[in-house]
Amino acid sequence: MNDKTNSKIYILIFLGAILFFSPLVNIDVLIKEKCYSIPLIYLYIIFCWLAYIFFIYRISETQA
Amino acid sequence: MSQLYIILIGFGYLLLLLLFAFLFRKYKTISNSKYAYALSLCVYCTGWTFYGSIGKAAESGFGYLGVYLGPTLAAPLMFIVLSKTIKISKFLRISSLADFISSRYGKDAVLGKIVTLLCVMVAIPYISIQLKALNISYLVLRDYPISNNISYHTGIFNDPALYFGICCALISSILGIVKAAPTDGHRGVVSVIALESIFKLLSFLIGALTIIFIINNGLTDIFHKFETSGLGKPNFDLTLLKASGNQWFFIALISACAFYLLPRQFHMSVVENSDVKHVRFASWMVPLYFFLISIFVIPIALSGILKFGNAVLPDSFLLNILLLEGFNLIAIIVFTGGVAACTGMIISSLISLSIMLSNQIVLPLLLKMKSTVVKELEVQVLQYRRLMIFVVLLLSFLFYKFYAVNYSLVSIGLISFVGISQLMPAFLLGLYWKHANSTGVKSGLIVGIVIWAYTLPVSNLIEMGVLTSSLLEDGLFGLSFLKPHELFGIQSMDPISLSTFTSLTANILTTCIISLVSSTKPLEFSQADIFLQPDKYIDQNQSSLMQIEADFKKLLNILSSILGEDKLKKLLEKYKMKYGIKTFDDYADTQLINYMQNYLSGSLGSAATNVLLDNIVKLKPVQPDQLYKIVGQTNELFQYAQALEQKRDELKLMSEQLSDANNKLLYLDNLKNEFISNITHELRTPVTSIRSLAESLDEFEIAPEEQAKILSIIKSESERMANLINQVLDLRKLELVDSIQMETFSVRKLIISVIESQKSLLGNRGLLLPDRDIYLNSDSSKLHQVLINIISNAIKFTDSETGKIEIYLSKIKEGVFIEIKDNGQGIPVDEVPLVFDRFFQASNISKTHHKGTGLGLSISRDILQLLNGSLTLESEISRGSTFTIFINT
Repeated sequence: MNDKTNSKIYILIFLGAILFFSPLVNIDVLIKEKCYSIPLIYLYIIFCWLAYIFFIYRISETQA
Repeated sequence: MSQLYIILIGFGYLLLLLLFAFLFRKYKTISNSKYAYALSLCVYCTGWTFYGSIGKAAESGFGYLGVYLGPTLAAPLMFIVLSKTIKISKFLRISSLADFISSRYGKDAVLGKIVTLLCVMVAIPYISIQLKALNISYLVLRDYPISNNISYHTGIFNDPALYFGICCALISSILGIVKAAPTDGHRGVVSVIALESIFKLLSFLIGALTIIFIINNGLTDIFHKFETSGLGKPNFDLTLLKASGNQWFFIALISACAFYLLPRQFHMSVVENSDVKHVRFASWMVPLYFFLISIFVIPIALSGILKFGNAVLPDSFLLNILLLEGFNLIAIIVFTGGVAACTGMIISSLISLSIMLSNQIVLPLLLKMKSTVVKELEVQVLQYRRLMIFVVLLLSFLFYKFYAVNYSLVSIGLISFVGISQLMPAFLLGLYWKHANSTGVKSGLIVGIVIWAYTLPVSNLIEMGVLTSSLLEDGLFGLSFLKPHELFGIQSMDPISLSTFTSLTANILTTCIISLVSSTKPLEFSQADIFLQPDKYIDQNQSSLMQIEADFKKLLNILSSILGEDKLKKLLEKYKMKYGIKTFDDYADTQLINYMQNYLSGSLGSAATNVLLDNIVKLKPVQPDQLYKIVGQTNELFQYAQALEQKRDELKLMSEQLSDANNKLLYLDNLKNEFISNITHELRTPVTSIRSLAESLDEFEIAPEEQAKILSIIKSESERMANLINQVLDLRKLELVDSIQMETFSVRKLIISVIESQKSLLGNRGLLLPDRDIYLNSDSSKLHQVLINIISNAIKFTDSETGKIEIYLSKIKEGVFIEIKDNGQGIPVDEVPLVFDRFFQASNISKTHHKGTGLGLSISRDILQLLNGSLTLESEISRGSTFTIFINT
């Protein structure tokens, strides 16, 4: 595991924390606004979760 | 639904599982695969996930998600932390979390016991909620249609959870306690847990998709119905999440800790790992699993609220909805999935706890109580572990019947998570901070556990009426800052967040401070180095820095009584083969002892191994040649570092000097360009004038008087050019310092000779020469040139009739002053500092005809500086000028 990969991992965790915890700030808007009756927060969490998994997958692919 | 039918399904499933496990044990490619490894880590999703998450979502919307987001966020750390942990554990044959922590901190037996007891304290409530979930799901199936006042309390022997628990204990004994060394891997357990993970996910998805797409018309339909029902505000107010934002954060934090440190998680991820490369696959597969199993929780919870309101326990919504709508077969599949989720957790927890309890507490205690070594200990250890499995199960069942039955699955689960998080400082600091020692870690753990116990389990006992409520209202000893739910005066946090924050902060601070102020044993240093840099030791196949020795015969005696004669022989042969050794000496060396210690630790744990070998293994004094080698290497490294540092400083200095020189060169280059530009300009003016006058003489007929006038101008301009060229040559000479010729001469005579040379220009100007003489040791020819420049200037800028030039000589201790004063037109005061600049012409000079080259004074100043002297000027318009030459003696 080289330093570059380690840095990528820490950056990913940091960005992930921001993505996952940011709804706490704008939750009123995300609950009020809906897309086909589904609150935006539900769609937001699905999107962020899948994106995060995709980035972990990309890092795992670069591992020797 | 028939009681017999349900029991047959549940137990039939467990029997089938056992059969599959035996089958998979033969196909190692499946159980050793990355898929089996990744799925075995999903044992994290238990009955709590299956039922409890829906209950939590029904109460607080997305509040349940923190439990899955925490491990998801921390999943990339698997590449760094988990891989390192696996490498160390495989190298040192570590068999449990307690063994890992105890081994890192100098194989401290007391620390191992503290960790074991904490794990038991945490795991027993956790197992108990699985038993509770099993009972709830069984009762829902049996007693449907349910009534509002259904009782989940059943008699001990009527409770199916007891029998499910016994089945789990049997499976754990059969599959998990096969080899004394858990590090050798229990392929059957991995297969069972992996299979259960697949089944629980599939059954959950089948149930969830049936509710969303068959019972309802998709996600939009559920959300729309919920929005228009008016039930949302009290039951599903998402803004609750905002109010409990800190809870979400702390739940994510403790869940991430639990994912790595719960005994069963450590067992499946580290002890049962067959290849460290499998971590790569698990790092993204496990979060994907969490996503799939938790993303439909919200729609199920909403659907449950719509159908039942508060009429049934929210934890049982999944089963109740399916039964209400007549999907009995799917309800049975979901029930079996729930059994899989609960039993998977119970089996893995029982195995990991039994190993910890037997290795850290039972065996060391037994070995200390008996003076002789227990015969065939490796065989007996399996029996102790099986016994521990049933002890833990019994304790969990009692806890469930007398305590957990009153609380929701989630609340008990979170209390366990906060408890297990107390191990995180010891675990992480052990991997990354060499100064962490056993005294610090033990102190930190005790402080953290006390705060956790005081803020969560104790307050629950108060709520149950076991302890007096005054503790909750008034605080310990009546001190308000010691109120369990407002500890240290913090009122804005819920109990889980408060407990997490205060206990972990106190734990980390205590560990760090005590580690820094307390002494560290040599063995701790040695172990710390292995844990911090495992690759170094794995590459060299060296498991300790410490040099130890033991009497070979005594070592063999102990080993043969533990392992048996045959096994010991095989082990010694294996050792000989590995290290290419033919015979053994009277004393067993460090390598052999470490090899045997590692082998025994894998079976009995480091604590029991230490007790066994403590009496015969001695620290070997460091030999002078070893010491010399270590010191030599250190000294060499130190010198190398010093040389590098010195080289760096030299390079830095050289770089600065080069930079200065470069700046100077650039400055000189600019000066040169400016100088050439000025010179060419100065030369062009007279040349142009001479050429145009010469052309006039050639082309026009000019009167003789006029011709004479023109020739006079040509002559004057030519002289000016010659002067300029001479002065440029003087400047060039000035650069040659070697041309200075020192001699002693009379300054008065020198002044007189200068006046003589300028006599033709003096006209009727008054002249006052110095009346005294001074002898000076300097370069007379250069001083002569300076005096010519200054005196000729004085002549040039004074009136030929009324002009007056006075020259004074004086001497002080430091040198000689020559003062040349005139009553000429003078120059403006603000231009005085500029007159020594090359090519400077005073503003009032341009109005006269006495325009010079602008180099004379500049050359004079430079000459005097060369002679270690100076030239200054005082002047004022219409009042004349005074030049003062000072030459240092």
